Amino acid sequence: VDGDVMVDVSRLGFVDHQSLHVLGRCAEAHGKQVVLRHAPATVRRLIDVAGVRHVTATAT
Amino acid sequence: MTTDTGFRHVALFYDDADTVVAQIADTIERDHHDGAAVLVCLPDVLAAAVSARIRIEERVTFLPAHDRYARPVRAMEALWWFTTAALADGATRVQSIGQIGFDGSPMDDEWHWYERAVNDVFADAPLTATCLFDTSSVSPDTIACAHATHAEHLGQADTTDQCDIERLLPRPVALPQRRADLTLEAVTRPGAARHALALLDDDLAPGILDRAKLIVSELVTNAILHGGGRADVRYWHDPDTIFVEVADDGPGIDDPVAILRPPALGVRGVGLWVSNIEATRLHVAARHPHGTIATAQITGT
Repeated sequence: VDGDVMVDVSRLGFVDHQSLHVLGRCAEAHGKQVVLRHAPATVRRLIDVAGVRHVTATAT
Repeated sequence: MTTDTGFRHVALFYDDADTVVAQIADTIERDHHDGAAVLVCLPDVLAAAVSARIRIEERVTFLPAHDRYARPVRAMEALWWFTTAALADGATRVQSIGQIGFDGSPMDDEWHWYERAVNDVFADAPLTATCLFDTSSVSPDTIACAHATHAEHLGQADTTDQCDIERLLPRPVALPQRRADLTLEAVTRPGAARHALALLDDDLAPGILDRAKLIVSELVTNAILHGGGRADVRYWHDPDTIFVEVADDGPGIDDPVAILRPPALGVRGVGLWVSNIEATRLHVAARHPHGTIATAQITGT
């Protein structure tokens, strides 16, 4: 995959900080950044609060 | 450059705004000259007066006091991130200057506990936390507790009051005085506790439900991983509030300020920190004869 990995999470029911950290470590191992699109507010806050790296989230 | 690398917690008592503004401006300029980064969180009038008086801009950050001091965990988060970022950016030291809005309400005790927790969390940090107390408006017992939680005192603030040690402990969440609306025993999967929330009420606001799901999941995960492998969970709900209690019979938590301790990235402690950020109030206590009880109140904002 070239560039960032974009994931549409509009139908995501729940994710905890441990799962986000796993995603971040996986992204880091592959030299990528994961962008969660259409992420609910709790997920966007969780990434910041839990200090998840290599994962970002957008509302759109 | 300063050679003082330890933590300093300073209570600055004042009753004259002009004098304290001059004092703060001098402190900022001196510390800035020594390579420190400065965080200022003061009431608007004081902040504006200080800002107008100092002749520097870089490495001096003003945050609205009502934002930083909305809740103790938010205040800790702001101080932690500022300190971490400033030191990573080359600052030799951090100076934080703030004024908590002590107003005689029950929240005052939360803030006294926060002040005590700051001593523990930043014990090894190259940080000076200077806390202002307007002696013309705060109560004598607030001054007494400020004496108890700050190692250094500047200005005049005589009081004969004693700080009750109970005021320096976290205040429990007041659970509804009725039988729980839902009880789950010996839960071994966070998902089971999370899904049970859907049984409570269809009328709960989605924002509250999402926060409650996250908090329950984190607290039950903690119980499973660190508290003996299973959790007893109770829920109460009102139209705009969910109360959650998660109890385990593990070894307990020996850190008295665990819920106010910012975690290092991705390591143990994140669950409690996340839960405290998302909850309206969170409290963690020992369970008799052993174990931990975490209670959370989640109210709509």
